[in-house]
Amino acid sequence: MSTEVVMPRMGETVDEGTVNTWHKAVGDQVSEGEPLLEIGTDKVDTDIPAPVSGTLVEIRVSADETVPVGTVLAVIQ
Amino acid sequence: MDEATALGLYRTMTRIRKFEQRAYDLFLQNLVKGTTHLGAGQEAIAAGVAAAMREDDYTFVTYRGHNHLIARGTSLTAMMAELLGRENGLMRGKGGSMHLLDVSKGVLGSYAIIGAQLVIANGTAWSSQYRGSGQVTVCFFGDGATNIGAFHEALNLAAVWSLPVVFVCENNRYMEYTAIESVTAVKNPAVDRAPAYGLPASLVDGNDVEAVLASATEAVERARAGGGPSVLEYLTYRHGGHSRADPGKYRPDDEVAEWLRRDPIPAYRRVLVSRGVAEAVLDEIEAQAKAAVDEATQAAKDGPEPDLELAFADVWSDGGWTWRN
Repeated sequence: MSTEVVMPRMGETVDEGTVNTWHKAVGDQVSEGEPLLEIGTDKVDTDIPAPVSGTLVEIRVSADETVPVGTVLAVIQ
Repeated sequence: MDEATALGLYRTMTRIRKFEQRAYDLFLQNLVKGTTHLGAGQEAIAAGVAAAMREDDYTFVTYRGHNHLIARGTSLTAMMAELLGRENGLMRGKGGSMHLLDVSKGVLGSYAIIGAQLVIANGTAWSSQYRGSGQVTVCFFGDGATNIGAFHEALNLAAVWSLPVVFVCENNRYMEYTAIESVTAVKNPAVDRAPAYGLPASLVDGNDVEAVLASATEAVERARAGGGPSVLEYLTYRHGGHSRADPGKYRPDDEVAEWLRRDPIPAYRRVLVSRGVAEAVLDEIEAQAKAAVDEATQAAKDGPEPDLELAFADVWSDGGWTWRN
């Protein structure tokens, strides 16, 4: 089963976010709750934890790219 | 303490923790509508105080209120569906995380306005006193609320009328992003002010669930016996930020690490194991909590979005709204 990691809505008026850094690379094992990437918005920078344990099979948005809220950032299998 | 009560406390804390972790995950997936303020780290207060209460007692909570509804037995499905804005939610999807209310459990609201609930809690306490029902009102608030005028008004009037109310401060050291000591004239924001109104007050480790239960029992029973209001201040710490995905970087790393070491759930687990409770029993309680949260999550996701017409339901006492036009 694959799980998508999406750009969260960090504030009521925040419609997009930037990927600051990936803490993991494609092929890495991740465990639930472990920091996966850092995102930045005009309100706050924060780490996003892996929602599930598994293998990071896909990164769809690279560091420094800005995308709308809800965009799939990565897939964990 | 008897084992059934102890396991009940562990069960409540575990259910809260699993619920809050799931709420955070669902927030990051954009499934939670609006904001969330999570209570992970503060479970011992909710579990201990609720265990000291009678079924028909009243509870008032803040916008960081999930813990208390869970502790008083509100359906996890109804709560999760409410967070997701679904029609099978506690407020039919129209209230969200900050506005949970469950009359059937005596929880008369989550208040988003800091300190607003303290004066309203006096109302149910006065009602109980007037009716001679023996019900006690427990009103929770954060450390920041002690610097609000309503806190002082409420304590004063409760003292004057000797109301059956217990004022419970969950002091997690931060009012939103501001350290409480940086803006407060006294060290212990609630208990140091209680003497100004002649109220008894206790400062208690809010991460020790049995200490919470013992102190809450004393305060609740005093109120029930006609001994009047009192103040409890529980020292605790929220594991996460103030709201949403706030990383809480205004808090020093060593302070966060120290409080994570004092996490009330593993701490209580160690106590229970040292008393001879089998690890397997505690593992089973955790597995049941996770299963309950999984079930609530699925039911919430399966719930329908509220119809637009529902915006006008539950607004007027007669159920209608046409007279407005």
